[in-house]
Amino acid sequence: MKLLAILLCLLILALPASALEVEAPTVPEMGKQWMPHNTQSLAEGLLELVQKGILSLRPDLKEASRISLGILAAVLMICTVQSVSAAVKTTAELAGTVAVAAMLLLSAKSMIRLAADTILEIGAYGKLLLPVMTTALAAQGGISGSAALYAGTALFSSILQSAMNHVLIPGIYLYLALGTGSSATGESLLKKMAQTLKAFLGWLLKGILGVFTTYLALTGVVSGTTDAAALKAAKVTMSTVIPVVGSVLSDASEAVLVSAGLMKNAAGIYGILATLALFLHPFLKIGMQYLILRVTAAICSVFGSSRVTELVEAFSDGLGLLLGMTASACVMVFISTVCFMKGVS
Amino acid sequence: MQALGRYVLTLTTSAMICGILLSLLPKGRTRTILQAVCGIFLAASALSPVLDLSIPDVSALPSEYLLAGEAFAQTGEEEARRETHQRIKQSLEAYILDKAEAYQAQITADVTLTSDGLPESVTYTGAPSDEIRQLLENMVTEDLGIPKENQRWSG
Repeated sequence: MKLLAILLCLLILALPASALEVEAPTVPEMGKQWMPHNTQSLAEGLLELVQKGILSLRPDLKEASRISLGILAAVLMICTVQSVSAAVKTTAELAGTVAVAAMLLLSAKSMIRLAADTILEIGAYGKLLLPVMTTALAAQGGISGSAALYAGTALFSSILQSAMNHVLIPGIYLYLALGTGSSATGESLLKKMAQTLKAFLGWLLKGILGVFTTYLALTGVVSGTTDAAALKAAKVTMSTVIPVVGSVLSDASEAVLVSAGLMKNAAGIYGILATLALFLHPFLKIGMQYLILRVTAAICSVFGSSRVTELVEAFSDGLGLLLGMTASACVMVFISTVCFMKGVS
Repeated sequence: MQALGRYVLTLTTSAMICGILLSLLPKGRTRTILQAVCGIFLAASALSPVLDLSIPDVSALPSEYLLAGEAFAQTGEEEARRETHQRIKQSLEAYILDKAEAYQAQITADVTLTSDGLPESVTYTGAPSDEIRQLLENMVTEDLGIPKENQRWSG
């Protein structure tokens, strides 16, 4: 009898999971070239992604350096003109600032577009990945937890998307405009307004992410406990039926839970890598531009051109906000995927 | 981009006009008043795009997403139940065939389950002797809890 039960267990475990199929959606076109070959192992996939990301930075570094050199050349010209004639000091500084602003606005526009596209792609991929992870977690027994996780992640992604379209991107443009205005005219009111706007945008991003993580933490505790209790109750019910049937029921249910968990984790790892493939290159590109602008601002301050320094700093701060915005969209998908992968404790 | 350019130009021009006006006036009461007026004017020019911002209504989204989440979770639950039932059915049939083989009977068995996944009935196909039929039916009743009236023979 015991041997038969063991054989039955082995038979159940050996059965293929035919009905329950969980697969992460394929990575979108934008991230295809960055997607690692090995999508089974998170560590190896991450390593390959980082390698690809670093290797792809060379052309971006060139472009960023070109802008930086342009700004430095403009600053040198302003300094030269100012040293030749003190009478044209203000005019030279104003003209130089406007020239540098025009240069930076072009580059900032492409960076804002890149960040917006990346967030859109990450959001669209997240919308495809979430139902898969929800179904898989529910199949693993996390019925209430999966629905709550889905609702929270989808809601906060929508809020972030809305905030990006209606507040964050116009806000960044407004911040750049205020920064340009304050640098060109030296008006302290504009500078203060720019600083307030920057603080508000930063606070908005942190706020959305903070509320989202708090929601996930609470959902994890509350729904996780409910689902774990439901699973335990189901196991107790199974053990009360006739011994042979009870053992078959329990083994079949365990095998389905295990296979659902395995498929869910594989889909989760693929999903994380796909999100990273969409996110990493744009993030590194904007990050590179940000760092180079910071260095440029430091060099400009050595030449003594405070207005251009302020302008470059304002643009680098704008890029910093873009980095935060892009990272928030990615982190949202990451955290929710990890919560789904954690499953029912 | 054009709108942004226009905005920067308006803001810069406003700031420059204010700067020129203030630099022309000597220190005094008039200058202080003008300074306040310029400040209000600049603030209004800078904040004018904020008035165009439209915040979308997201109040209906939580219930919509919760419903969608519940629908996805239900799909997962149903798929898992179907898969579990399939495994239970296969295991029970394998159990019956294994016992039948021990009685040296060549049969097939088709088990049906209740919605809870418990065995409900079985249909045997084959022609073993009455004694073996009795043995099998007794075993299935005892081990699997399927009453004799729910055990049928065909073929």
